[in-house]
Parts: sequence; C-alpha cells; structure tokens
Amino acid sequence: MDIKAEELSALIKKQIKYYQNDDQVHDIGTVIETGDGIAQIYGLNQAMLGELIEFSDGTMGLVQSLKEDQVGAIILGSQLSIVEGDEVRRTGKIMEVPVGEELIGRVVNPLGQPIDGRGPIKTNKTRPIEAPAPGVMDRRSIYEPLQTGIKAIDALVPIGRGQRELIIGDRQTGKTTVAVDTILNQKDQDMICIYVAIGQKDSTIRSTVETFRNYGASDYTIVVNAGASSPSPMQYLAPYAGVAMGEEFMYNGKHVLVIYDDLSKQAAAYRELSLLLKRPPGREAFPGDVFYLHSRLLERAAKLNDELGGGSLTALPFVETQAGDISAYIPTNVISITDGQIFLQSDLFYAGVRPAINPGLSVSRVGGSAQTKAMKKVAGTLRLDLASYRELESFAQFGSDLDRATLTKLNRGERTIEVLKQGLHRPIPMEKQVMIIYALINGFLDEIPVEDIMRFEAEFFNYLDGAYSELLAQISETKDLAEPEKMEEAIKSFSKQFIVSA
Amino acid sequence: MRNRLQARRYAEALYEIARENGREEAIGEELKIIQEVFTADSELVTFLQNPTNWLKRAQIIESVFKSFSTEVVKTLLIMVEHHAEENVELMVDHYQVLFNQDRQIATGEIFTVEPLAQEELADIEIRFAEKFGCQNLKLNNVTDPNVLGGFKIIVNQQLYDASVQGRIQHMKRDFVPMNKR
Repeated sequence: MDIKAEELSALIKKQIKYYQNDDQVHDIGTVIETGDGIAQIYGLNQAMLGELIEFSDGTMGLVQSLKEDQVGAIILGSQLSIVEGDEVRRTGKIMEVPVGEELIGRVVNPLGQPIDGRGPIKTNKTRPIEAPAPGVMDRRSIYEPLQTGIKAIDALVPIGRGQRELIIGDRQTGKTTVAVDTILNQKDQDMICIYVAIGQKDSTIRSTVETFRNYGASDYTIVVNAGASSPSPMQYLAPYAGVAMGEEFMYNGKHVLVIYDDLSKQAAAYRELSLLLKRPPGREAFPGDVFYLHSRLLERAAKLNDELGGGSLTALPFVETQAGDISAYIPTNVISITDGQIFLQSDLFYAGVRPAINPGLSVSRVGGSAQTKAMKKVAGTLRLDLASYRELESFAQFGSDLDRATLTKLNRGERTIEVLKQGLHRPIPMEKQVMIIYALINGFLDEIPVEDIMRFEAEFFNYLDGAYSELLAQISETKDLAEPEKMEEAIKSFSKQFIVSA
Repeated sequence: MRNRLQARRYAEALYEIARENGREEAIGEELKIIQEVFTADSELVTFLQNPTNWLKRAQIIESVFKSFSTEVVKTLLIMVEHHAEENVELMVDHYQVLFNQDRQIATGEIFTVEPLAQEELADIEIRFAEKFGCQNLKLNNVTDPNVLGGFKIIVNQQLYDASVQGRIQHMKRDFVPMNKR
C-alpha cells in the first residue's frame, strides 16, 4: 500500500495534534556512576526490585539492588549512550517479553526484539519473565514420550513430555547436535520448540538457523539468541525469556520443548553481574543464589493436569564440564535439579561412537513411563547387555582363547554399539527404531559383519518403506509390537537380499 | 570524605531534639548561618582538619559559636569530635528536608526558558501542591534554554514534564524503532 507524501504529512500532523500530553508525575533519579553494564542511580526512592526503568535515551534497565539512597540497575542494551547525570524514570512494570504465535519461526533477542531482519513482530500479548512454577496439584505425572529420534536416547534414557533432562559433557562432544536432531524430529509430533542460545558464537547460531530452515523446522521453532558479544544482563535473562514464551503455549494446552544451550554460560554471566553489583562471591566466585537461578528456571517445566489443558513444557538444559569433571559446582547443582542426565563423553566421541552417550552413567528418572509399549518391550534388556559387554570388552583384546558364551556376548555387544550409532541430522521415527532393535536383540544381526551394520540399517529402512509400510504404520498407530511372525518375516526377507561386503 | 548518609544521622538527631523543645524554626535559622561558614573549602573546615589543632577543637567551636543555642553547639562539638566537619553542610540540608517534610512544605525547581512572572509562579505553586503531595509548594525558578518551551518541575526526585523538550524526546522514542536510534 503506497502512501503519498502529502498523505504522510497529514497523518503525522494528525498524530501530533492528538498527541496525548502526559500529565502524570514521574519518579526520577540521576545516574551517578555507570560502567560495565551497571548503573548506580541516586533517587528513584519508590523503585521496586526487578522493576524496569528507562534511561533518557530509551534504553531499559532492570533494578537489581536497593540501598538507602541508591539504586543499582543492570543496563539492558548498549551502555555507551548512558552518561553520568542522565535522568532515569520508573516504568512501574516488571520485566516482560512479547509472547504468542507470531514469534514462531523468528529469531529474537531476550527482550523479544527480532534480530533476523524480517520486520517487526506484531504480538499484543506479553508475559512477565519471572513467574511462579505450577504447583503440586496443577501437575500430573509424565506419561507421554518425547521422541528425540536418536536411538540411544529413546531406547536407553527415554524422555517424557514435561520432564527436565540434563545434557552434560565436555566441549565438542556433540551436545548441540543432540538438541538440533531432537528439534528436527518434532516435525509432526505437534510440538513447539524454543531454542535458547546463551553465549554462543553468532556464526554457529546462523548455521543452526539455516539447518532448521532447510529441514523445515522453522515452522514450529523460536530461536532466542543472546550471543557471546551481548551484555551479560541479556545472557542472564535469555533462558527466562525462553521459558516465558513457552509457558504461554503450555497454559493453552500445547506441548513445548525448550532447550537451554547452555546454562554454564548463563551462570558465568550471572556471576559477572553479581560481582559488579558488589554481591559477595561464594564457591568458584559464584554468588550465593546460583542454585536458585537454575532451580526456579527448571521448575517451570511441567506436565499440567487436564483441568489446566494438559499442556506440557519439557526442558533440555545443557551444561558444559571441564575435563569431564561432573562434580564441579554448577554440574552438581543442575544434576540435583533435573530428572536425569545424559552424559556425552569425549573418549567415546573420538572412538567413533556418535552420539557419544555413555549408557552406564546416563539416567532418566522417568524411564519406562515415557516409552511406548513397543519400545519398552525391545529396549528392556539393552542396557544390561551393554553393561555386561563393557565388562568383557577388555577380554576382546585377547582374541580367540575364549569360551562360546563370552564370544557370543562380545559379538552381540559390538553390534549393539554399532546399532546405537547414528548419523548427523538423521532422526529416526519410533517404528523404525523398534524394528532395528528388535532385529538386534533377536539375533538377526549376529551374522552380519560389524562394518556393514550401518549400511544394513539404512537399506533395511528403505526396504521397509517400500515393501512393509503397513507394518510400520501398524506399529506407529498401536504403539505396540506387531505379531512376531510378521516382523520376523520382514527382517528375514531383507536379510536374504542384503549383500555383505567381502 | 563527604558522607551523605552519615550527615543524615546527625540531622535526624538534631531535628528530634529541636522538636522536643519546640524550637525547630529557630534552630533552622541558626543552621542556615552555620552552613555558610562550614562550606567544603572554607577556612574553618581546613583549620579543623589540621592535626595540630585537634586538641583545641572543642575550645575553638565553643568560643566561635558562643551566641548560638546549646543544641546547635553540642551537635557541632560532636560532629567535630568525630571528624565529620565536612558533612555539616549536608547535615543542614537534610535538616531542612526533615523540617519541610513535617510541615508538608516541598521545595523544588521549575525550569523555564524565560523567567516567570511572580503571579504565574504563585499560581503554579498553588495548583501543583496537591500533585506533589504537600500543602505548600515553594519553587525556585531556573532559566534553562534547553527546555525550548513550556516548563518542567522537579520536586523531591519527582518530575512533572510539560516542556517541549520532553515531548520531543517522547515522540522520538515512539516514532523511531529501537534499532535505528
């Protein structure tokens, strides 16, 4: 719609004429000290903790400390424009972010402002970023699975809708890949995904958003980005902004997945803020309430009861460890808050096991209630098999002087590890996972050489799509195993035509 | 070092005593005179801060301020003993604030481009008294060309903005999106 120049002037003239004169008395203060993203303000006697204040150039600040005659505030934006002597006003509002359907498919900063260059976001709803978590009576127990599409997770450490599952590992062990693949798998699962990136490189976020776009995940994903160069208040607030956006959907009966990548960087940003606000440092220089920082965030993930709509919010927080030390301060804190953890280990990663999940140390406290009947039946013994394989693994170095039972176990264990490996950005739907694991535990893969297992699996899935699609549909709909004869027939007929590499 | 909070404590104490004896007004007047003498770089303050004079401080204060009321002299003696000479100025300021608070008097400043006429100023004082929560409003007229037009009143950390400058800033905020400022 083109507007002519004269119409434009007329419009502006009308706006100026009817411009409401602001006839209220405002509380004001003066900036007496500013630096490092913190401003100390004299005055503002009525300011409340956590209130939003506005500097004279429009930048917002958040009140963090109240002293007898001074107020300490963190600056949410560029601090370069704020000068000592500037006037500051109270807004009377606590920190809120815009929420709603219009955010889906966009990349925003923690204040809800778009940073993907695709124009303003027209929402009219906002939510405060701090809100009390659902109470005991508002929840119900978790029973719906969250299908990540990653065999190792769905079989061994299943995640349910409404659960908090921690993903913990060193740098470069494939944590973000687990998150991205999970999001890619939610395509027809009726989920809304929110990916909160804290302190990540902007180039990494760019390629992640491109991946989402290429695989069609943009239709149901919101990305909240507080990059490495953003001020620490933004990095501190980003996860709360993400969960506030998710709560809007949860309380309307929808299912949400929120991924916090990663919480160690948020804790570091919070530490930076607290030290600048002169709060006393504790262990590892973190302030005393760093546990509360994470617990109030993660408690907001829940499965609501039917009266409140039955929606859910699943949280997948990430924590980065240094040299595998999971007994450091932040890892132990978050482990005690979440309902289970998935360990990614660098030695497994470099040995070629990708995703590098350690099934012995990984746990899901929701477990079987979050698995479909089909998966429960096939994956039941998998964990035990892997554990006994690991024990015997050292003997495999010796070679042939072993009894038949041990050799069988070793054989099966190697193939189990091989089956649990998975390629990048290739999430697998539940029915196919069930088929391949069923083939594994019933010995159909024992004759196939280990190097061919991955190729076997890929070709097997293609074959099933072609010749046995009703079988897959049956498993997918009933969520239970089909008759053993049918399943075995499918596997046997494929094995006959599979060519082993010489 | 000037310490506003410390000065407040002394002011509160002195005001309490003055109120008990019903002499707030009189003491207030005396303090105004004292404030002029105790400004930050005045000779008296520098003299008192000199270590060689410390033993004679009490004597000096008593002899200089002989004609003032006992409450005031005693307060000065205590402050000088605690090495708080430079806070006397701030103490008097805060005394004034307490005095005004009790009587529902507020003092503030009104910023205009050109000086206001007396009747206009009085009129504004009457009308805005209620807005600022007091019964009596005393405004000091300050000319500030930056205001461009209209007026701006600041009383006790509260602002009423009816200036053209304020309106322009508000419009700028509304019309210009965040990423273009």
